[in-house]
Amino acid sequence: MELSKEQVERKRKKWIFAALLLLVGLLLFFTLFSNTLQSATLPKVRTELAASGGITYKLEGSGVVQPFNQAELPNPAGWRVQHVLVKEGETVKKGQKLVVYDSTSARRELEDELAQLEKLNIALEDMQDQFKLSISEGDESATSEIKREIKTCNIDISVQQRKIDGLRDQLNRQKELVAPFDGIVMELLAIEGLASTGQSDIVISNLELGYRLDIVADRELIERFGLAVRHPIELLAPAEGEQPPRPLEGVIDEIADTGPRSASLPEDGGGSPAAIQQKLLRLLLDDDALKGGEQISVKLELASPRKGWLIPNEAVHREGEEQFIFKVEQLRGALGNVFLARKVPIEESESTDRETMIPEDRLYEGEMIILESSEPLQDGNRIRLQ
Amino acid sequence: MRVMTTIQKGLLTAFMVMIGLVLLFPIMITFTNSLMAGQELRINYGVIGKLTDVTSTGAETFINLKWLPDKVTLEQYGELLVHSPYYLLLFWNSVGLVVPIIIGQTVVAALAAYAFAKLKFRGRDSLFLVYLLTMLMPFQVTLVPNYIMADKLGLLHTSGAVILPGVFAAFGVFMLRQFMLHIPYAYIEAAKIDGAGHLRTFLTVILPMVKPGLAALVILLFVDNWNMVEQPLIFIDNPMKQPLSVFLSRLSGEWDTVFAASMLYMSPMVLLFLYAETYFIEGVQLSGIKG
Repeated sequence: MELSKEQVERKRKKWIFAALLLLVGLLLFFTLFSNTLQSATLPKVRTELAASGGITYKLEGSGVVQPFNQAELPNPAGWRVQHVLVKEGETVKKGQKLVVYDSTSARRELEDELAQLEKLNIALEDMQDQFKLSISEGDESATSEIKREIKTCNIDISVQQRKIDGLRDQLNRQKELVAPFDGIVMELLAIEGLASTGQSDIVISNLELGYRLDIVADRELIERFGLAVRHPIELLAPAEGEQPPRPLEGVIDEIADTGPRSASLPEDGGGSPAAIQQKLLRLLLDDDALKGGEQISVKLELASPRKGWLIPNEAVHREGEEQFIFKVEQLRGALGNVFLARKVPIEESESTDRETMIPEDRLYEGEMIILESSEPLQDGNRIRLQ
Repeated sequence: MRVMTTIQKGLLTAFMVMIGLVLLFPIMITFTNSLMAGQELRINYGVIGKLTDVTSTGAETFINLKWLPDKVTLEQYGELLVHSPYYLLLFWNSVGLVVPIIIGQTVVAALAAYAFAKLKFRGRDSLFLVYLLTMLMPFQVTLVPNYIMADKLGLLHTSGAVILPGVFAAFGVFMLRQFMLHIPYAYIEAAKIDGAGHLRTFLTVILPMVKPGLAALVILLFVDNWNMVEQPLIFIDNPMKQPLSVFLSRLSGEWDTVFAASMLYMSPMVLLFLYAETYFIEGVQLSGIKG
């Protein structure tokens, strides 16, 4: 009896000891691994080191160079095209023949008219003979009648003469198309052997007036760069074959309003996208090497005088009027380091399409900015760094 | 011995059951509440915050102590173990303070008690009286000297400032001396005759005999030091180094963890007591000290 009591007691102690060990083991396990366990459930974030510096505004755009002025030369008489003397893209001088038209029908008409004139001349001679005869006969009434007929015939002849002159002139002018000014053949619509389609046969640019380039840019940027009419602008012509891109100079000819564009907002921005006012810049280019049709780009840079932290726009969040970013705060936790998302308000900021500059006092050197997170964050949330 | 009547026996049993229930009540309610979700506790005990609100009428200042959870959940434990690394750190802080104190004081006390109980030297009793006086003085009296001493030793704000005074506390010496006084001197004389020196006598004769006393001492020291609040609060300023007891006293209102934290906090104590219960009772009885 006594023995079994001792056994029971020993067994009880064993159990208690096991429970004690279990407790200590459990606590030890969680001490070592709670941080790991917990961090598996935390929102995962992608971060970037904040860069110090000033914001650089960039006005970028490109457009196709178009002649400032171009003329469409129609087929003057609607005749068939006999020869096309130029090619598209060819530079032509003022007065140079461009297209020769088939003028056979006109020439035939002229010959007809000439024959008609001949006929009139013969009729006139005939009347003059009759006139002489009637004078010698002394028939007064017949004389005056013939006199009137001769007058009428003379009028007919001069009309016919003028008609022939007109035809001849037309034939001379319209049998060929001539360049009205120094220029480049932009478009060649005339096809040999066919009559005109009703449109112009040749589109020719005016070299004397130069080229223009239309570029659309944000109004705010244009104002920030202080761009105004007659302001010169640096441009860049594209590389051609072996040649490197070459700078050009343009002058602003006109600044016109154009439709606004909608701003791209970060995903969680909410609200309706803000409309960004835009303007059209019409630049005048005066460069001999331009032919029209080139893709010319504009790249202006302006460094903001203020310095601060540069943050990619995707890191900036909006909540109503308020703007803020999240930075990573590292806490020396009880069991390993803990990372927290810390909200940093940014009321005053300058921004471009890609970056936002926030004041220098908002961050310290080397602090990480949260770009995106697997779950919506709040101030003080624990996070897991990617 | 007078024979008890059945009625007397019944009455006594009822009385003891009642006392037992009263003593167990806090532990039981802590345990059941530790199985509730934080939300449930907040609804139940949220009124505690209003107790200090002087504008409220008396009606809402009563707290409904809830016995059984609506839904049994280990949420609190999960929250505590996974999401409150601080708690675990402080638990090990407590262990780091208590274990050296227990080991140190047991060693020191056993040796000193042997000397006070079984060695004869001049001024032994008066020295013991002085020793005893330090024990009789409340902790607060020696607080300032202890603080100055810790500062001078460069131990301030380290766990050493708590451990060192703990190791040399007089309680263990007193308790083990009382225990050893009951050991007949004949044992020592027998050992001496057999050629044992003091160390051998102490290790092989005395120590095995005071085992229950040592167990009782260990438990008492554990309870005492596991629950200490003032010393670490004063000597250790870094909250990361303070023991769990200090932290627990600040937990009120954190319904998500507070009961589970209390449960885990007292479980080592309870288990240790259950483990060494028989020794403890024996030891306390023999030394004549009440725990």
